[in-house]
Parts: sequence; C-alpha cells; structure tokens
Amino acid sequence: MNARSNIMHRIRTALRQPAPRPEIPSGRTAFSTISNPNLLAHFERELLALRTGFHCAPNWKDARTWCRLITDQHELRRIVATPDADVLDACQSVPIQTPRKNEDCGPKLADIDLSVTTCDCLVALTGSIVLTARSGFGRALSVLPPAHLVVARRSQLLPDFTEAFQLLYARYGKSWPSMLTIITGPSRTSDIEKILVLGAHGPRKLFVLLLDF
Amino acid sequence: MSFADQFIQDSEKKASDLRHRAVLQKAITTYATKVADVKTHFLDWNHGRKLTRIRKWEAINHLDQYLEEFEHNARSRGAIIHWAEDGAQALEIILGLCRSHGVRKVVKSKSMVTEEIHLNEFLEKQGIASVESDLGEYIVQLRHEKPYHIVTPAMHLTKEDIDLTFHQRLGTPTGSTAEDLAQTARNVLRNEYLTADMGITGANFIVAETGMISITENEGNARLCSSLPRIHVAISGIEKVLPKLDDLALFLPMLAVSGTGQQITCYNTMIGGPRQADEMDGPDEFHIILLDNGRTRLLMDPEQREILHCIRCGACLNVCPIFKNVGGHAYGTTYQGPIGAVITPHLRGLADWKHLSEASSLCGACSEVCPVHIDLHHHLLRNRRNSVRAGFSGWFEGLSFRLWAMLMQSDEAYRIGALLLRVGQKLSIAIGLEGTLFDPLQHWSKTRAFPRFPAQTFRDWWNKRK
Repeated sequence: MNARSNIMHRIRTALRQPAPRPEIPSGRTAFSTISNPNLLAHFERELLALRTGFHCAPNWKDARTWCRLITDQHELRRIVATPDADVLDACQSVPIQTPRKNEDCGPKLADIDLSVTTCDCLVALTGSIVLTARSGFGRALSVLPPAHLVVARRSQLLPDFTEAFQLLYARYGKSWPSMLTIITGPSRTSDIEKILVLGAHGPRKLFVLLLDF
Repeated sequence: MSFADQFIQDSEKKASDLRHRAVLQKAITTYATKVADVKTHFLDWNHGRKLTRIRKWEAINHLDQYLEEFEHNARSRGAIIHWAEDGAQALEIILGLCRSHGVRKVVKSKSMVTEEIHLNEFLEKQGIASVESDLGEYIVQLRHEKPYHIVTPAMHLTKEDIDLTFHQRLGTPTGSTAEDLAQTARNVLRNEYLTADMGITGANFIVAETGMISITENEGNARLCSSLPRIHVAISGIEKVLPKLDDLALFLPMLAVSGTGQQITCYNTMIGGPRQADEMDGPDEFHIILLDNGRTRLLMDPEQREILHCIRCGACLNVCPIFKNVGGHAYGTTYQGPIGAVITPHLRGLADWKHLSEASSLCGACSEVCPVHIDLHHHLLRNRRNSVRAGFSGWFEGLSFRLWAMLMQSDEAYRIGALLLRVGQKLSIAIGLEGTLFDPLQHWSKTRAFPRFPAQTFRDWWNKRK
C-alpha cells in the first residue's frame, strides 16, 4: 500500500501545477461515415481485403449448404459450436459438438479444427467482429482453433465503432463480461521483412456467415 | 565508456553499414506506403490527432482521479491491483506471485514495459522460464538481442537471418519461407500457452470507466496468453489511462494506422477481470501492476507533461532521419527514436542521456506524424536547454558558444573569421590535411566532403555592386 500512496502523492503534487490545455476540437468525427444503403457492400469489401470468407445467406437452406461447403472445402472435421439457436440452425448440415461445462473449454479446445460462434455486432467501416466472453462462449473458443466461423444477423451490422461501443454499453453496462474483443481478419504477422503471413497464433481462417432474412 | 560515447561509436558503425541501411529502408518503405494508403480512409486524420490529444490531456491531467476510478472498477470484478514505484518493485511483485503459485513457466506477449524492467533476464535468473510469444520478440529472444524497434522488434533482420537463427536454435532445415518460419513459431509456442502457469501481457490502454485493460495485437498471442494460463498478470505504465471505454473507438484506429498502417489491428481485446462465474474459461486470477518508474517525474514538469500522452505507436521512429541512419540498437535504450530521445533522460537521468536529444536534425517529422499530436522536436530542444541549465553540457561547449556569440556580434571579428576559414580550408586541401586526423573538421570530413567556401563572400559581392 506504501507504493500506492507514494505514487498518488507524487501525482497530486505534480498536478498542482497545471499544464496548458490544448485546443478543444469541434465535435465532428475524424472517420469517414458510411451511409446505410452502402453498409453491406462496404463490409463485404473490407472482409475481402482482410481475406475473410464471407457469405450472405437469403434463407436457412442456403446458410446450411454454405456451412457444409466450407467445412468440406477446408477439411474442417472436428467442429465445436456454441449452443445458440442461430448457430445450431446454420450448422444442421455438419456434425458439431457443443461445450457443456467449463472443462470442455480452455485448453481442451486445442485439437479442434473449427469453432462456430455468434457475436455481439459487426462493424462495416473496418470489417470487424465484436464478441465477448459471453457471446463468444469464453475466451479460448474464438482464438485457439485454426478456423473460426461467425454466424450473425444482418441487423447486427453497424457502421462504425462509436455505434458498436454504444451497443456494448447498452447490453453489458450493468455487468461487463471479463473479456471483449474486436476481431478484424484472420490472425496475421508481418514481423519477418514486413511479409504478410496469415495464421500467426490465432485462427488462420476466418469466416462470416450473415443471415439476411 | 559513457552512454554518449557508446552511442557515438555504435551510430557511426551503423550509419556506414550498407546492408543494415538496405534492410531498414525496405521495412520503412513498406510501412510508409501502407500508412499513406490507410490515411485516405479517414475523413480528416489531422482532426483525429486533435481529438486524441485532448482526451489524453484530460486523462493525464486528472491522473489521480482516473487511476482511482480504474482501480475501484477493476477490483469490483475481481482483478487484483498492485502498485510499483520502480522496476525493482514490479519484479518483486511478479516473483512473489510466481513463488506463491508455484509458477515454473511464464508465457509473455509483447510489452515494452517488461523490457523497461528487464523482466525476462530477471525471471531466468530466478529459475523461471519466460517465453516471448510475439513472433518478432520470439526471434530477438532466440538471438539474445534486445528489440530493435518498439513496434517491430525484428525490423533489422532479413528472412535469411531469421532462417539461420531458427536453424541454429530450433533445428529447422534452412531455406524456409516467411510462412514456414511463422508456422514453426506457431507450433513451438502453441505448446507454451497450454503448459505455462502464468501469462504476462502489457496494456496499450487502461480504461478508468470500466476497469479494463486493452491490448492491441495482430497475432493472437496476447489473447492466448490471457486465456489459457491459470494466472494472468498485466503490467502497465500509469500513464496508459483513458477515461471512457468508447475513447477506444478513436484510439484503436489511430494507434493501428500509426503503428502498422492498418485501419485497425487484427485483435483489440479488453480484459476486466478473471473468469467470471458465468463464463466458460479464462484465468482464475487476474493481476494488474501499475508502474511508475519515473513517469511521475515527467508529470512534475508541466512543460513536458504531454510526453506522457504517448501511445507507443512507433511512427516517430519510422520517419526519423536519425533512426533511419543509426537504427534502433544504437540508442541503447528501451524506447528508440524521437520518443526514446525525449523520454529516456526523464526515466533514466538527463546527465547520462542528454546526448540523444542532441542527435536530431530538428526537422519536425516526428511531431508531424504523432497520432496524439505530441510536439516531439520541441521537447528535444527543451531537453537540450534543461541540460545546459543543469550544467551538463561541459566547459568546452559553453566556451565555444560564447566565442561564437562574440564573433557573430562583431562586424570586424566576423569578417576576419570568414577570411581565416577560407584561407584555412584552401591550405588544408593544399597540404592534404582534409579528412585526416589533423583536420579540425575531421568529424565531418572523414566520411564526406566539406562544402567549399566560395572565393568571394556575400559581403564583398554586395560592396562591389552597391
């Protein structure tokens, strides 16, 4: 406790001398805004640039066919999915396991090929996925397996981060999950000669299935 | 050898190392192209810099309030907060946690604060394995080097260098591609996450409003470090605080653009506690160490306080002509480039580190790119001034400037001085002195030609035409 009071004392002593306040900028944003009709097209373009697989399904049958297609194409056999209604519906065409208890998560997920989760929202501006320890079913499921599929509703697509944080405040403001994460594209590194390599430590493949109905 | 002499020796060596220059140029050019491209996605990048500046000003100038708010909120969801006045205290806290929890292996994600306190060396000495999991950090750890750049630790290495390191240290065959090397690291480190007892991360931001730390990364290693081991320890400088969670809507993109030329990095993760009762996994314990280590000294100086606004994006390094010539290791500091030159004298003493503020062309490129609008090159000037005021500049420098002032103020003395220089240079060339040890201008002339003085001075020219 001594360190704390020493540091606090030094901070308070220091702040008795004010530093000049910089110019207060006008309230407008620094970011481009995307109008509503362009939301989906912009999102799709960003995902493509990020090398994220994307499919917009007009009905359940189409969604299930696509799930089957990508799991076959990428040879994803051991699949763990969260027990959400949309996820289970979309995954009807593929064999899945759903984690039941804590012991099914964490390091236990090291051997699976694909995780399927929902999310809290999608951000069109940057092609991002926002999920939490609640919507993502813990921390490991969306990062440990080599592939991750996110199932989301069209209504979850938001233009920018300001709106995404508003949604998080509204949903969790009273009781925050222990982890929130913004995922933008598959795991990557450019640490070797700035050469882009996908799949550094997190998923090498990332897919978004948008239910547009 | 003093730090200043070491710096001069190392930078002279690097400045004439053509291979080093080529590697650095390639990396920086790639970075610059990406940054220029991604800035076009902004409506007004410069407006963003003003917005971040005022938010950081608010946070730093009410640091006590926001740290208390952070502590209260983080505690309320089960995080354990520790305070450390310096590196030694922080290390003691970590060692205490390791001892009480029987920790034999730690897996780390990238954190400059842990470099600042020399965590890896310390843990190794205590018999605790400490594994870096960021690819760049892992590479420099394998080579027993220090990070070359605060964002790109292995910027000075070619694919072939890394290939050789992996071959020697991990026994992989040579001739690997970047993909192969990344895959090797992935395979090796995967096991480390699963078997480590403790994950240690830094924090790019700490959010007062919700008591969360925020970590920015591309690889996913920080997420794994904070998901799998049973204990997660995050170390953060006290200056990393932001008032509100949605401040991140601004800061995460600003950091990504400046750091790596991305709109936003692959993972931005906010952690506000250990696993909660209704969550499937996550660590049982979450500790946050708030480190001072000289930061309150900077806070004491209202004129330079804004240096604490820095979000460690590395943009000022990448544009700095000094960094581009001498590289990251020559600085001999945890933080390189303009921010390192500005901050190190405050963290480690002006007497020993003032020379870094003198190694600057004062071109202002650093101030121009800073995503939080820090007036970096003027802080370099302030460090110089403070060093003179404190009497660190030495008698010779003082005498030289007094003589210079006399010369510049006297018409006659200036005329004679100019004449002597012209004659002196001619003479020096005539007898072959130029560039040798006996040349008074040897520091300049040993590696480059000194411009020739014109035969006629401006004054003579003017008098003739009057």
